[in-house]
Amino acid sequence: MAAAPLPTTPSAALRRVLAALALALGAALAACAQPPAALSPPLLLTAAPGAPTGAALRAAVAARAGVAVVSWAAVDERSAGLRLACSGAACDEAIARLRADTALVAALVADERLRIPPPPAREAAR
Amino acid sequence: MTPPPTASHRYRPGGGFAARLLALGLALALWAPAAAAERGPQRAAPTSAQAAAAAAGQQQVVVRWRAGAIGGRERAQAAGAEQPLRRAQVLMHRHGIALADGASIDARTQVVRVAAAQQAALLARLALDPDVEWAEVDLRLHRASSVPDDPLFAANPLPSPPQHPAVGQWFLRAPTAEAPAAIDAVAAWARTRGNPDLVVAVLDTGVRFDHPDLAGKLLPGHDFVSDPATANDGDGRDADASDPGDYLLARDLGTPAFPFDDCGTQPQFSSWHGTQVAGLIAAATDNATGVAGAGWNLRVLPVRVLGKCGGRESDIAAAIRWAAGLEVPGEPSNPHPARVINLSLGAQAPCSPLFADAIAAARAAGAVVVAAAGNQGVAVNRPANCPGVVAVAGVRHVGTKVGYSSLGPEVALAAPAGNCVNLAGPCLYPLVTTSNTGSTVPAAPSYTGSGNDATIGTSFAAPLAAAAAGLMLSVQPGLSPDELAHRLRSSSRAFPAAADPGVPDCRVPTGFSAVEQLECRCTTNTCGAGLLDVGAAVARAAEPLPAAGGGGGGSVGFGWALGLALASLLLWRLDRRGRARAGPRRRFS
Repeated sequence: MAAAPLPTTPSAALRRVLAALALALGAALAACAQPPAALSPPLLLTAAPGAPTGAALRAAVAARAGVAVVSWAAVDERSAGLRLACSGAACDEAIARLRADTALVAALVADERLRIPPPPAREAAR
Repeated sequence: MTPPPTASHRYRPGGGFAARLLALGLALALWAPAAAAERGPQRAAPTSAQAAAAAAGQQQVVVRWRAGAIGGRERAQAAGAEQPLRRAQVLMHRHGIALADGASIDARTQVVRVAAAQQAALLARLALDPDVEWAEVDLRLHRASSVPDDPLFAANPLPSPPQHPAVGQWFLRAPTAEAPAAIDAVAAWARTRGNPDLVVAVLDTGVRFDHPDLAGKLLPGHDFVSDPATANDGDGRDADASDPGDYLLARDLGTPAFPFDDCGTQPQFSSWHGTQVAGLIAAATDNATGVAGAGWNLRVLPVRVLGKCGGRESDIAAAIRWAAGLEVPGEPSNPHPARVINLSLGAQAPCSPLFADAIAAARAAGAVVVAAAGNQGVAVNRPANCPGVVAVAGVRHVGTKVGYSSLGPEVALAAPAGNCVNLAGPCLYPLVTTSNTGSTVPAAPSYTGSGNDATIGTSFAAPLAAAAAGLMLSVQPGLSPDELAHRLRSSSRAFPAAADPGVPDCRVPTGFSAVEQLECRCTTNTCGAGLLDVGAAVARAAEPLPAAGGGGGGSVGFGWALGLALASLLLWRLDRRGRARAGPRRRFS
């Protein structure tokens, strides 16, 4: 007795699954290939007296800057380190808009980097 | 032998109603300032179960009552016999801390037993209690030497492994003619080995929790590095204060924009900087392993603020607040607020408003902030130059400023920072401490030695002062940050004269771009008040606190005046009534 032919339906289903996987993989690769989102330099914001605090402050800053606030690291209710979703001239304009709103922003400066004091040279360590 | 005067000796039974009223008035007078000294709402008295728990505790406090503070009722109970003092209940109700009576020492001095976790709170409250002349930890006496058995502490340690410095932990021992800058932690340890509940926060690169010489000495801590790219642990702020390494690879340096734009030009190995700092403060001591910590029993709260290429001011300021027990939005509360915060980090810049505010807030919360002066030999770094910070400069083993140490009038005092003497070969006077062998990611726990891994820098002078502050607070928890800094400075040793007449005097630098001043003879305007002397600092810390300020003194005076006025009024009225009833006969009796 001849062996019955293998059913074809599972192969078709498998092909559909593989195709879907391939599509998903392609989409993922395409996403990876996008250039990284532009970010402002790290900034340090202190809210003006009477300005909103906490999450409301972040929302108000984003609205006034006209760009998204990408990261927000609170120091206290009125101060935070932040990065804006912008680059180049767009960032300069967003920062200028924030600084101009003195009812919202008391200070907006670079969030400076501190480091381990540099290892001394042997000559200085006698 | 004449027995010491007691309440029972002073009490005169049958003194009459007027005398009892006088006693009542005096008791009111004494109670009033005590109540005035209470801060916040009245506390509920502890239960008997709490009292029993206190009795089972391990800590003892000696309390000396002021003359007249023992109430009339107690004298009545003790009438006719010399009774031991039993005033734990009085203190329990007044201060809301479970206590049990211990031995009486004399008529006004007794021991009370308190749970270890409550000891600091009790001492702080007793310092404000106007009925208490003084209160101090009932110190357990240790063997006279107080020399720990950690093998790397001793000079000439065993030659295995050979790379360890021959002088051992020279900087912790008593000063000698060879090394007059040693901080004499041994003398301090004879008085206190540190309160294990006293927390020193180390804001740094994180720590290696797996180091056996830090086992049991590290609290959980927190990670405040918010930028995942520099955090090197895959995320932003989190509860894991472990150090994943702060190495810089060539590909990091090739990143054209943030976050590695100003990281220098050369790849770097991981520093394990926070682990080194933590070991200097609180390595497990007298455990026959590795090194001793200057703070012996103190514990470290690791707070990670530095990742690859350092850390942002916003994260560090937030961490200062958090370490002191203040709230930081979005982060959990710190269950172990620190009384000392060590900052072995910096930037060549003036103090910023953000740091000034964070440091002021931490100090207001009772934390002492200690920071390294910097390693550039110029003006003092931020945040060591911020108001209220105990800035620490580095000295050589002979007490002159070590070449690399920054200097200036902001410096509070100087401490050994490690120096090598020679330009090649083994580094002779490094500060051996805990570390890790990994060049990038963590590998095996280790100790720094005398080669390229030698621990030198003002980063390591600061934790010696931080440990000293922790020991001072162990014997006097009521010290304010300002009072502690004053006692730390005033107990320091004078800078020695330079043995080499060719060593110039240090000069106040003109700024951050000044010419680096190499070895120079310290002055009080450049290296602080003197050389850190931990033994003297702890002795100075144990001296009584200054009298309470105007408010407290005023309330005591008012209470006395009110009580005496009330008693006088009552006596006067009684006297008038008595005269009216008895008539002239009584007058002449």
